[in-house]
Amino acid sequence: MNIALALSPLLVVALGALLLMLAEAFSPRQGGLALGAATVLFVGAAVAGGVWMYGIERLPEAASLAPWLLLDRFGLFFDMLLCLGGGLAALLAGGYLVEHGIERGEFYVLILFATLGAMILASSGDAVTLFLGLETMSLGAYAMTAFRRASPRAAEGALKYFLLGSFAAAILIYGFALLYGATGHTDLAGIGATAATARTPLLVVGAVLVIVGVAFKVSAVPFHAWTPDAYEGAPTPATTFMAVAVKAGAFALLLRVLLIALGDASWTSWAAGWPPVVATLAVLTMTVANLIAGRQESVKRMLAYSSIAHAGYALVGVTALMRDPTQAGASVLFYLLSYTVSTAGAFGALILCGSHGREAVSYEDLSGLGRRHPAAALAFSLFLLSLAGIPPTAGFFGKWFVFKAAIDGGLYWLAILGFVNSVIGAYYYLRVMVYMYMREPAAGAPVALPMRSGYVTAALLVSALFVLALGLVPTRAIEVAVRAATLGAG
Amino acid sequence: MLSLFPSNDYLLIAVILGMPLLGAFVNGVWGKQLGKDAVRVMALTAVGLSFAASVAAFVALSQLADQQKGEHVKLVWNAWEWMNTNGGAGGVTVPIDVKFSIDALSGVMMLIVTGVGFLIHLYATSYMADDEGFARFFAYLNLFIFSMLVLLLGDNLPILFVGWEGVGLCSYLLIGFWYEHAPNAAAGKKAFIANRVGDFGLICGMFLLVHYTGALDWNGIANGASSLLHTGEQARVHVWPLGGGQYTGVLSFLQPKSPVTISAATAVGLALLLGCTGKSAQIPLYVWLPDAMAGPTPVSALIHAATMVTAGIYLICRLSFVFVLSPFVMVLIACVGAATALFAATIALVQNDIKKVLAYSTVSQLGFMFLGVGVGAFTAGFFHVFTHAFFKACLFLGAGSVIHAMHARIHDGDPSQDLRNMGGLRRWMPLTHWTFAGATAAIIGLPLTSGFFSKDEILYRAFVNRTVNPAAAALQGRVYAPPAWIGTALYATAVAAAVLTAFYMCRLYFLTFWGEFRGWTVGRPSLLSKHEVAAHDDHGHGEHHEDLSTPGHPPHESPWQMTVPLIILATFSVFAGWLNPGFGLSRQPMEHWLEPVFKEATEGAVVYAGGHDAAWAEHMTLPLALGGIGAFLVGTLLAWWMYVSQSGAPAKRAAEAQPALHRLLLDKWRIDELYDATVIAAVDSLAETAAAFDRAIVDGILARLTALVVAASGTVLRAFQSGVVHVYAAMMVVGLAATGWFFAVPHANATVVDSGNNDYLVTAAPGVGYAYRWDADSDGKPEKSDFGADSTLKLHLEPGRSQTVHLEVKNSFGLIRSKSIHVARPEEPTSSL
Amino acid sequence: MSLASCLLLAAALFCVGLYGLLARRQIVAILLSIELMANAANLVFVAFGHYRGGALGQVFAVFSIALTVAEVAVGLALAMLLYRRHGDSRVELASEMKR
Repeated sequence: MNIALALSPLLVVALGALLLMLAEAFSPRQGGLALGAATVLFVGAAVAGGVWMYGIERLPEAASLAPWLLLDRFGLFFDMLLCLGGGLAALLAGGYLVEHGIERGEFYVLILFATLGAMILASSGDAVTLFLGLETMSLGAYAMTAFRRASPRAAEGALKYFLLGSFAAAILIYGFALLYGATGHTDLAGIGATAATARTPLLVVGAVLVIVGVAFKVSAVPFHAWTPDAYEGAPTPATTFMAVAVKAGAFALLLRVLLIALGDASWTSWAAGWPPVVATLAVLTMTVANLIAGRQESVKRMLAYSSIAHAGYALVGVTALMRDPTQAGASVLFYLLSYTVSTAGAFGALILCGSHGREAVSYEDLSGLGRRHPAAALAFSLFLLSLAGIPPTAGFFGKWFVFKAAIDGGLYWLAILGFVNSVIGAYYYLRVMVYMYMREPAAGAPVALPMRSGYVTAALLVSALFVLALGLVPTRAIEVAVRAATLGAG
Repeated sequence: MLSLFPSNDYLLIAVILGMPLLGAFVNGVWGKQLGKDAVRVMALTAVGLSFAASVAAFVALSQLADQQKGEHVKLVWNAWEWMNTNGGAGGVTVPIDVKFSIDALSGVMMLIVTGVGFLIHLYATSYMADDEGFARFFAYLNLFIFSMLVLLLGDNLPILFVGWEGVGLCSYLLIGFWYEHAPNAAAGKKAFIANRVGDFGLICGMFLLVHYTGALDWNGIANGASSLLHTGEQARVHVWPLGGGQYTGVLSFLQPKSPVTISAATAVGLALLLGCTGKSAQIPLYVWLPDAMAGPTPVSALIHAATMVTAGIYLICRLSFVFVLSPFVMVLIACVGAATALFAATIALVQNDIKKVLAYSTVSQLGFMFLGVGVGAFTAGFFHVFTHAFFKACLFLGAGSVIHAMHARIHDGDPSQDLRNMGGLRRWMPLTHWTFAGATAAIIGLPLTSGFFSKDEILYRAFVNRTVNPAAAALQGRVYAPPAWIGTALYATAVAAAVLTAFYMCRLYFLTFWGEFRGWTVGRPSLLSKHEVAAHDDHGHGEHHEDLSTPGHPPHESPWQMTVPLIILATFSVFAGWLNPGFGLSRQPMEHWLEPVFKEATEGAVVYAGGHDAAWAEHMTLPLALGGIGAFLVGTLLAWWMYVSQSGAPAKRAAEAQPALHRLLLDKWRIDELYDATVIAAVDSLAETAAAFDRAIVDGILARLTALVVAASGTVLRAFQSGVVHVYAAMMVVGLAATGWFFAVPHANATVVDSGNNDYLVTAAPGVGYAYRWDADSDGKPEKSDFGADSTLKLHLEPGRSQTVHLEVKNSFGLIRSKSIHVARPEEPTSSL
Repeated sequence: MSLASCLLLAAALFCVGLYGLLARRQIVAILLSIELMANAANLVFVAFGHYRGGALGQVFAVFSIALTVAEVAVGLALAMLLYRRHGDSRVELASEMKR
């Protein structure tokens, strides 16, 4: 029974997904599916919160599932984060799919299963469950990307995502095969425990392959190239889901691998371990993504690059894990939380700006929005400011904590590069606001008309609430992140 | 009251702060839909309730002060914990909380802001009644009240800074309120830049305070302030070379013989002073304030006269215990204040725009306040803030009333503010005239009015006060002592400024309200020519030929919403001086009220000049008061003679006799042009020396070149995003190969740690599957021929000796890398920098 | 067969798959290449499972094959989507989005 309680977030989402699949199959009217999916996910988040407050330590039976599922506070934090991100995406889909005439119930089922996969991924402590979670999440994401069957771009984006994703999965599984050969273990803790004694090149090659496979999932440069195309081709709610939930799941995987499997001193060495590699990835990811994002004509594609850049900022915090796993880990978790609500809000605002089969994609589509639809423009501005890291929003504290973790770890240059990058980033975020408030659409040019949808409005309100609350009262969320990271390290 | 709200969790502050914020929000979001009446009610209710709550809080505070006599009492509300940073000597955690407090100082300011703010809101409901942006205006105005209260009530520097930026933002928004006019937008920009320079100082001050005192809240800074005066070389701020480094190589000529250092107290004081000069419009950053008068007149009254611009003086008072630690900074504050007072007064002598005169007068009066706090007379300086809020708000609102009346006749912005078009208005605007006269009496120092008492105290203190370093004994003579004549100089400058003040204010008053109305013909010619054109085109000659001298309807008195605030403010202008009357009178409520706030700062730091005692100072009271009274008499009589008895003829003659000087004054000493010239000249010379880069520098490396580099590299990088799956996969393979290469190659690296006893520990960096081989004496023969797990090497070195260690690293692939590490023990211990 | 030759065979399979991924144009061929790489990993698991004893390696291989099948199903569906549109399944037909 106690195991069921410890597993309850996963069970809620899994059962909800099955029920929703049945409902979708048997009910001709599918109007309430979005609400159903969002409810399941928010209930999942609430249940995870309940288990968190009850205290997972008081459920010792939960440990019997280790190493396949590590039911700890780290996992619960990601359960809440992923359910929140997935729930927001489901709400956005409820407005978007109807408005663009592709309302089919399987989308919500896909969201639920993909979220479930991400939750399993975040809790997994063994390569078997890791793959199970990873593939469940990825297959759902591939299918959602291709959801607009009539659109060539959707098919193209899904194809690229799928081919490269399968490639990365093959790399990852090959890496784990070599690690298994080197250590005799497929569980992360076992790999970590025997890594010190296993002096074989297989271990190093396996670790390289695993790091690269995970780097693909967090779309770090140069493993990022699929991201803009898949994000642009996908229907925007699917983009939102990939940008928040898939990315958060991938970061959970990265943190678990680096902390548990590659956590000993020789792996965290600044001279020869993974920190310089992750730092290089962080710098490349921030810089390349920011530079390209500034040259985009499509706001949607700009946001895709922006989400790559944000993975770079989070990687700054990941690099700092080498000195202080708890504080740096907490900074990454807080960053992911602030990034999730800001990005979901920004994509949501973009969704709100389009209607009747016409998405708002370019900067021109948004010109004069401040006058035409002040509420939408205000919401969009809030999320853009948060993405740019301007106080008093969640994004400011996200950046503050990862840069502070880097500085505390002695990585001044990394923090400075991160800061320079966020200045470059501010340029293209503010450019959107310039279009919304200071430009008028050219005479006769078609303008995107904002839609009216309770679902989208609700998603925006929830995101805005989080963005402001995390910016004004971040202390509680930080305490939560620190507790989650503490157990994740142990 | 106190039982309802305990003093350590004083929730009423939430009401004081929350009401204006609510008003701003409601009016900002729904203002257009609500209509003007609802906006008016909302705005007035918000500020009115905030004022009522302020009064209640003030009463509670005074009760608490009575209970705990002489203590520095506070009503505190800790809203929530915000974030943490590190600082101080031990790198302690410095909490930054959203915390507000009301003490004697912020309490008085809070009353001024909400009280005067309410009156000005009331005034504006009528003044702005016909404006299109009515709701927007009141949203900004309420937001300003909120920000100003955050600035005042914030219990730490970051919260104060939030308010500081907030009032700045509202100021630009309101200066540019009529943003259709290009000059208004330009004025907003100017204010923005000047304030950014000031903010830079404030931020530097904040960093220095965190670094040296390890605190950012007022109590914490007060407790840690003593560490700002540490005598150790490391506790001083290295000005040159910056940060205590060394210039080597080609830059070695920049290395001074001995590093230039200042005490941390002076560094903090200078940085904060820069911030205060920006906000309070002092030399050299005063240029934005006169231009800021482009905004609506109630804004000028509230923000650019009564409240926001005094924020700099408030900050000096708030952190008085930091400023007094550096007598140099104190003298600098006094000199800046005196110079600004005199300088701005000379410009005000000849201006013809009624608001421009008042603007320069504000700059000048702010100078008096700086002078007061600069000589350590914090109460006197602050009391002038208090009285100035009333009489300057009254003057601006009176000017607004006049402009309102003139505008109704002329329908044109600038001529209706021109003194040359006014005159004799007391006939039609008796209430405006009498209230204006009262406020003028106060500012020129008519004995027994409020301005007389507050200004006189500053003049007096400037002469008798001197600040000394409270830790002079510990600093062993490394203290700054101002010259002995400084008191006399400051006093003389201030008296001169007071003479000019009396003169230009009387000039303004006489030109506006006395003599004959000169505005009959203004605006008529344009009207006339229009008629003439129409007549020529349509009807031929002769019809409707309007007489130039035909009087239109005369200027009229303003409605009650405008006159009631004037009356209240004028009353306070005349009588508020009795709160702190000076001249050894026994009842000085203000001094008594503020004593606990400043006691800590002034004890031991502020003394009488020349080693005199209190008896000497008391003896000097009357002689020194003669200067102030004399200034009033001279200035007033001169203005009466020039503009009333001779109807302005001597002024014209003076202007004709000295055309260059007159021109110079009219052009405000051409300081704007000077700034332009110096900046442009600097840029030009740079451009000449670096001809290849001239365009880049002129347009700003930051602006154009960076944008170009960013854009170009973005374009180049985009080429890799070719859309072809194979290219993407190839990029991944390259990344995989690079990562694999990094791990396949061993990395020889080592750190050297001094482990004491002349022993050094050389530790090779760990790596997966690494084995190490050491050659401690670098003779080419390693100590052990096999690679081993031993990753550390111990070296024993006598002082002055050095040794090169050779390290070889082999990884699990069998690859080997080596590195030589040079370990040297210096002769002497490294310097204490 | 020794462990070393098994590993060499797996590495060779992986490299062949990598070459196919980079060189082939038809989506189905690319899919096959990726399958080769995944199966190289399975081979390593089986080989080490045999070498080290215990069921872990074999279990993982079976598990991984099942997951790969699901992946291929999605992949073929996407290939169909492209084929229906263009009447061809060369991957460069899907390179409209770039930069």
